[in-house]
Amino acid sequence: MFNHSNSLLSSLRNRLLLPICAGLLAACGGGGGGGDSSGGSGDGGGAPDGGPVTISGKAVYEFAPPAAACRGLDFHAVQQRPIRQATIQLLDAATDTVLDAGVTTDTGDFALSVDSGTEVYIRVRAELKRTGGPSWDVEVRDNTRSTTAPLKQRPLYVLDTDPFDSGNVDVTRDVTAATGWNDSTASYTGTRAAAPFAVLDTAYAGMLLVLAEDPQVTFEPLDIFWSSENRPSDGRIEDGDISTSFYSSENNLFLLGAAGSDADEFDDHVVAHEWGHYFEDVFSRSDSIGGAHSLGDELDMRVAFGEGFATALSGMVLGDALYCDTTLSSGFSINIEDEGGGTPGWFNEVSVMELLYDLWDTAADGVDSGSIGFGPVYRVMTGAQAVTSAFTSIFSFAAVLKEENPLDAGFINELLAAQNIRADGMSEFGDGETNDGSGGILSTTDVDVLPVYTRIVPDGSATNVCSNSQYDRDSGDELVADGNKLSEHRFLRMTIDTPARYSFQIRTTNLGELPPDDPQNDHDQSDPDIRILLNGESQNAVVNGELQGFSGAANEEVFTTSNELVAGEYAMALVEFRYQDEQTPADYPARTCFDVIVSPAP
Amino acid sequence: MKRHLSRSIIGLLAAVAFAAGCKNAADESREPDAEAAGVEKTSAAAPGEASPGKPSAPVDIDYDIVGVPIVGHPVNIDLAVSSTQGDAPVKLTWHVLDTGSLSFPESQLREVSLRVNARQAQTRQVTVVPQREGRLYLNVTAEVETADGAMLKSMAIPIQVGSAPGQQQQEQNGEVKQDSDGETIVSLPADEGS
Repeated sequence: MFNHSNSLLSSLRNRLLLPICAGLLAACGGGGGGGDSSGGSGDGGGAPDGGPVTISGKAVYEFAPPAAACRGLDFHAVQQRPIRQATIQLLDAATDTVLDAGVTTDTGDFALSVDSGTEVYIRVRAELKRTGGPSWDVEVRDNTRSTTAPLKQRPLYVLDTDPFDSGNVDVTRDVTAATGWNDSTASYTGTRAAAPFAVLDTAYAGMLLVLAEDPQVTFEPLDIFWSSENRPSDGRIEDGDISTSFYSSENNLFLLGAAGSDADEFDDHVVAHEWGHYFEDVFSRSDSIGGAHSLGDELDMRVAFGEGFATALSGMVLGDALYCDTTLSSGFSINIEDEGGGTPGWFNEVSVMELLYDLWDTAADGVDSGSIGFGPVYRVMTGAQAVTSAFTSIFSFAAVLKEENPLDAGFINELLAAQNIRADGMSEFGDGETNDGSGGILSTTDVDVLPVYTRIVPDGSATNVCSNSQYDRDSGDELVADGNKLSEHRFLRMTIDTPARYSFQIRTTNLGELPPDDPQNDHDQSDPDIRILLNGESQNAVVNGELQGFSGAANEEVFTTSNELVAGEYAMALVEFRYQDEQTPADYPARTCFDVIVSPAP
Repeated sequence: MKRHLSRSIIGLLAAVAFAAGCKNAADESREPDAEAAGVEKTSAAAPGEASPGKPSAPVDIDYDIVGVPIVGHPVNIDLAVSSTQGDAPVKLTWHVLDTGSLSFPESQLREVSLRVNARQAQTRQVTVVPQREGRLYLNVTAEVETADGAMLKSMAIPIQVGSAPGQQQQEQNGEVKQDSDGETIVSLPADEGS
């Protein structure tokens, strides 16, 4: 990978700071070893004239912490933090050839060697690379430049020193990635060199949490895209119009960087939150359907778990329950340990967040009198949660957590109860749950929330289930159409004992409540859709270019599976698509009901 | 032209998944208009893995650009703000980062406090005057008091003036180069010394 053009230097490799052992990683924050870092630049000594010299030092980045109450950033309290585990190179100033390379330690120290009297410069690459066990591959790139290149080939950020003569004695040269902040103008007037390295370091902090539990772990490659042009605006990623900081499949993490609008490089909880989505995606499983959400919303349980988990994980990664999201002069905070907000329950991301954080943290508050640490959480997430036959939710997580940690079951039960989540007899399917999200305000007879899963018997019998947009409406009872609120997707489970092709017939039953069918309007009739999972694997086949279960047929969804459904426990999510459709007419009912019939195909 | 932030995020995520190559069938983009294919109703693709974005204030900001923006001519932007926080006041502010792109009339307020009923939008109109062609941005922030303190949401409203391409970067953050292996990099200057 590195171009070691000078074989003489190879003999000095033992002086380089190659990746440290897993045990040292787990310890974190320690010395990291090596590196003749005497602080500051200056001549060292000891190298013979004409022979190789060692250029050592410390690589750091400036970090602007949040101001009080997360109201902006405090540039009067800028910290110098080590650039940890980044690739560092010594390059020939004339040819840009890499003469020596290594990796910074956990304290940012480095030591590189080169022939004396060589014009060189130091480069720190915004990347973490390691092969073997453990292994990782993280890169920070600019999505807004060289945009004709594929996304993952957009330019990588590097930090370069000015050229200098290597001299004939060992020398210490420290390098700093500065914020670019100008106090006199209260704005960024310099290059924002610190930003990519701040982002990289938060990713590394997340990795350390995992490494402590799994020292030989392999991290899937992660590309982080940050740009000073990334703003909260609709449009093209090439233009920086990324809407918000988010993680997407294909292991891409996009972060805001437009200082005048919203920049997240120093909002390390935001970065860690999105890294949490990466973790969930590649180490575990997320069935989250995404969509708009705010703290306290009554959400689809899959969204609630994904978001609550990611925020809780940010607190664990950083060892700090105060989640800050700042702009230059403003911002807000989330108390991960005790935020409150909305109706507590299995559908509330705040409940999931507080529960998970309380499981981990050692601070006692209320019923949170203990800690199980990250290990049990990690084992459930990478084990049972990844293959659960249910959808991923607090139920699939907590049921197994209790099962795998019987000595802590009482503590877990107390935390569950504090969030109004039924602990007794908990199963991954939420059996016995009594919290319908109404907070006791609505009738429990028509909220279409419970049971969490409705059992479907695949014998041709009909089961009536309703999709309800009650939590996705404004105060004027107008549909908001986020499509990800509680009771819009209804969860079904089905046991298949006999492998066979199965026929699904889902027919809307409250046709009389629908608007008149206007042939010119694609959006005025019911459109049931159903997703089918077996242990997390989609069973919706593509037939003739169409995904079974998601046709556009009016008032029904009828199909026969193209393949045999094997014996097993199936989880399904049934939804009225009109509740995700911005063009749904105002007179469309808030509740749509269906008969669901599943039977072996003739 | 009216856009809804939350929906745009979903659309963006779908676009990203599509552009990056679908991981599985669940990532497929929405089907084309079904009526053209002899089926009456549109339908959704199956949901896939998606991060809806960072947590933010329980506030939605919608906007509507009234008319066609032209250099030197005032253009009105209707901002509609809604919140799930009961009737808590929402502080709405707006500014332009690049003053060479948009200007405000002298009489234009820069912030307003709104009483927003639960999820019922309040609308305010902001006037800007485009100073040049291109994709220009009006930055808007909505801040709402919740039971646990203030939360906010920011957005940059793109205003396309003429047919010029995207906004020129105000300051290139680092220099794009190719390294000796041919890899494209952004070189950032290091501070050196003690």
